[in-house]
Amino acid sequence: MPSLRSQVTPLLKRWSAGDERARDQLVPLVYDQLRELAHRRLRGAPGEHTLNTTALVHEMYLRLVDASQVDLPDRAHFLALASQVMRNLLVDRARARAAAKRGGGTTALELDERLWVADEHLDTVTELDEALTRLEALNPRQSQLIAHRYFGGLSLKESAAALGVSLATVKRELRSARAWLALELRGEPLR
Amino acid sequence: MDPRRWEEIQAAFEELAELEAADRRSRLAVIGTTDPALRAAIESLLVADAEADDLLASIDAALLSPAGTQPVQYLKDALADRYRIERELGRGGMATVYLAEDLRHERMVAVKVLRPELAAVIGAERFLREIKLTARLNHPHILPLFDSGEAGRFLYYVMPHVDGETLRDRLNRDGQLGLEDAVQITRGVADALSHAHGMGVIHRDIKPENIMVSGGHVVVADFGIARAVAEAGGDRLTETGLAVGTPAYMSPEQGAGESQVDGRSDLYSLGCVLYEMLAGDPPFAGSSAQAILARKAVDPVPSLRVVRRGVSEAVQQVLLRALERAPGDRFATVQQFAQALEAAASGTAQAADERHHLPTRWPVAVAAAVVILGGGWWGINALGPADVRIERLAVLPFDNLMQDDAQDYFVDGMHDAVITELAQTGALTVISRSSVLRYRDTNQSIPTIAGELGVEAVVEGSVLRVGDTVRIQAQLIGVNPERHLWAETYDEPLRDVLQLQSQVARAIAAAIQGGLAPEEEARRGEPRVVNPEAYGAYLKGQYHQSQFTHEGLRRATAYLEEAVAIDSTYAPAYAELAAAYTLRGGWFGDLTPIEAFPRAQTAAENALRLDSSLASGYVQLGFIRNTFNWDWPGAETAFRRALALDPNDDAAHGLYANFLRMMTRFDEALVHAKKFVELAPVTPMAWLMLYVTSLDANHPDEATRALEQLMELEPDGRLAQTVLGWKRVAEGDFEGAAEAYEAAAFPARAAGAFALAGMEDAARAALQPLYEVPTPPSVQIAIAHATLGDTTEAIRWLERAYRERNADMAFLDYLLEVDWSPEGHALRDLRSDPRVEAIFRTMDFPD
Repeated sequence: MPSLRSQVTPLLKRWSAGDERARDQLVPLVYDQLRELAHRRLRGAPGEHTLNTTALVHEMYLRLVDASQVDLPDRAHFLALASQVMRNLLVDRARARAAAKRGGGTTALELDERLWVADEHLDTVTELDEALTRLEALNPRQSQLIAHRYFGGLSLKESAAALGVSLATVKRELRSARAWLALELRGEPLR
Repeated sequence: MDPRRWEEIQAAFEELAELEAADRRSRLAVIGTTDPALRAAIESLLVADAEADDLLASIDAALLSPAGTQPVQYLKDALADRYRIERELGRGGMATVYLAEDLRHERMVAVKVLRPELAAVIGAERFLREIKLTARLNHPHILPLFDSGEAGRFLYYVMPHVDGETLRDRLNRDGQLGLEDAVQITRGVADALSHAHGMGVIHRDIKPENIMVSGGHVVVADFGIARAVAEAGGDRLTETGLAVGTPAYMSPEQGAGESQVDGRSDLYSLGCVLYEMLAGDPPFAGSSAQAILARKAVDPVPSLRVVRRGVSEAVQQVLLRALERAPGDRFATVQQFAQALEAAASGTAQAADERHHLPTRWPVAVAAAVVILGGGWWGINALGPADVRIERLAVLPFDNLMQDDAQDYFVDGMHDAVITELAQTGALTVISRSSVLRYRDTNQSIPTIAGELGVEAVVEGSVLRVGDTVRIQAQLIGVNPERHLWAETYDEPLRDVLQLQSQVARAIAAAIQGGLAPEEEARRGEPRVVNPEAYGAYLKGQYHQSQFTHEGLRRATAYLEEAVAIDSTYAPAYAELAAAYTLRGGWFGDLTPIEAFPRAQTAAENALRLDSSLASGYVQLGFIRNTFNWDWPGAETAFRRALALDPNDDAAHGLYANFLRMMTRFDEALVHAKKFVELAPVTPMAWLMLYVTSLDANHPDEATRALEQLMELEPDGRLAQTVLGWKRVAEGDFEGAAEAYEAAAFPARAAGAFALAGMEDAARAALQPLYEVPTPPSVQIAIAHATLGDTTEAIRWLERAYRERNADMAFLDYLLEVDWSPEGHALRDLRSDPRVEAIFRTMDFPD
């Protein structure tokens, strides 16, 4: 079997060059790899109760991408994609867990799947997700920026490259987006 | 809201966010007349913007930070019905203090939250019961306790917010106090203590941070807190390695761990405070709690009159009696002390008291106790009160004010020189250059940077060069609380630039700790004058070298050769040149060792002949003797000399650790690898070294932590891949290791790992291209062959490595010995071959 890396790296380069089908092929690979890594993490470290999402995404990047073959925009695209996948994974698990805690859920999660988000953070994660969905309706780029930060650990430079805008734009938009988000979380959203 | 409206709001918000407060207000007023809703939205956003860090803290906690932080949002929520937390005021040894509004009484208060690690080990109920005892205290000089309780995971107590400054603030500002003020403050504190002692309450933590000075009025805070913590913590506190109190002000009996102390212990602490008000520093200082307490136990109180000549002998005698080691030799009560002090200060004192010269047996007992307690006993105090001395410092990259990127090399050179100068003062730990460079052009705040680097202060600066004149502007900023400690601007001719760097470094050192040690001053002598052309070439060389690329090193070599050609007495340029050659003959390998190392050696020896105090010269010499000459004792001498000259040289610690690994002295290696990381916390190479050394010394947990740090810093670099390879080797996943080695561009290592995995074809395929390269990794090739069972080939490559003096040869003994990695174990079978035996004999590894 060809190594994952020799499979993923060319896909990434094709996607970077504009081939959206390559993206569709990448998503399941990223999805599986993130799950597998998280599984290993949580199994391997009994003291560790939550995942460090940023570390996980970066470890996955190392495993899937031949770093010597890609440049900043490729890496940024990949990490941005990973942050989307990570968001879905985390939010699904937080919802399932919250439902199970309320007694309404029937989803049987593996022990370590339940640990993706610590109980005390369940609401925060779902609230963030909902706020990001609302922000997306106002300005999709800002929503992505926040998701990059929290679910993928992208640097500002990487975010700029992934979104195809300047660093200054990223900084400016992130500032408004953070203020907007802060108001949402405080329960005083802008009308 | 629709997207277009959001865009409008956002644009206005961005514009206003950049304005000064007054302009902002007038713009808002204008907007409000036409679109009040827009105005309201902007105002909300501006508030949220200012508080975004706090408001988003719960998300950070959920998604970014590992456990153990104290998210202020939790606290706010937990206390929401009683207090509205406004902001953090400061952090002490035991608690974090927040300014808050007491909603029920509509007044401002200070909410103090015990540090979580402390709250975790003490019994909440007991603490709250104990702390209520202090609520009985009612005295004008005692800050009352309003409230206390438990909220979520937090233990807190509430005191009035005093709108004044602490004595610590005052001392930071003024350095020393006038005698009259000092006496008056001491009297106020003594009154408070006297009242409390009468009620059976001992403070146990009298220090400038706990004394509030407000409009001439003195109030003592935190009465009974230390006691409540100590009582509620009980044995658990001691068992877990936490202690209560602050070493610099703690009485000897408290330092010895006596659980029952009386008012005379507070008296001793007050004596320390008085001493500090007069002298500017407490009587005993040291870099650790143990050091301070050991001095208290052994050293005499340093004469106050040496530092403060205006103080009369009578005042000094009163102070000395308060600072007697044995409680029985001090005044019996704080009142007696205060009275004697007032009398001495006003000149009506009787002659020196009769009793305070007696040597006592106390010192020995205390010293013994300190030694026994040793280790981690000082957990709490290690966290530090708000105003600890500055022991770790980072010099951030200087700004280039010349608007010309081509001058970056000059600015970087100045930056590097100031770091080196400061590092050589020895008393400070100065973060290495490689670890601060990442903060060039950063948007991060000073406290964030300081937190990442674990420093108590940072230096910021800018450089402007106009013709032959250089201007350096530098400022020293303390964190926690953030404050400007010192700032200065220097203009000097370019030819005096060395002197200028030295001047800046000295001024910073002086601002931090009252100047350099005298021996350091003596060692430096007169700074020399530099030839501007040679200096320019040197700086360019250094700049290119720091790029850490093949091309950069080639250019660096050329510039440095030029620098020493212009000025053949330029020692630092020789040392830098030596480094360029060792890098090219070792890690980069574009020269063979035989081409590179003899030149490096000449350069290093020239450097040391010109300046025998040049640490970097000894580091290079040590490295050359180690990897090229295989002169083990000679290498060790050079490394040790380098560390003696500059204990903050990160490269010296790193390369010495590597040397000790080769000598299979793993525990010693680990000490230096840790120091390397401490000095270069954001340098990936340092974490790589700590990772592998931890495995060598059989500390897998430490290795895991190092790996995480490295991955965070540089997840996709060559070093990270190398470490990943090692990790998989240690786990027995040889195929995975081979993959990582390939990604790290170490094909020979990959071949060895494939061979271990039993994948012969892959191993041979990886080896094939290596046979053609001019400077092959011969040792690694030999290992791969040995693992594949090709004895003849293995020995041939090993002999070639020996002839070529391959840098990996110095690891030969290590490769056979080390437990966690079987990569070199195949060489064991070759050991008895006479040719291999001859190599080992010549190399003469120590037993």
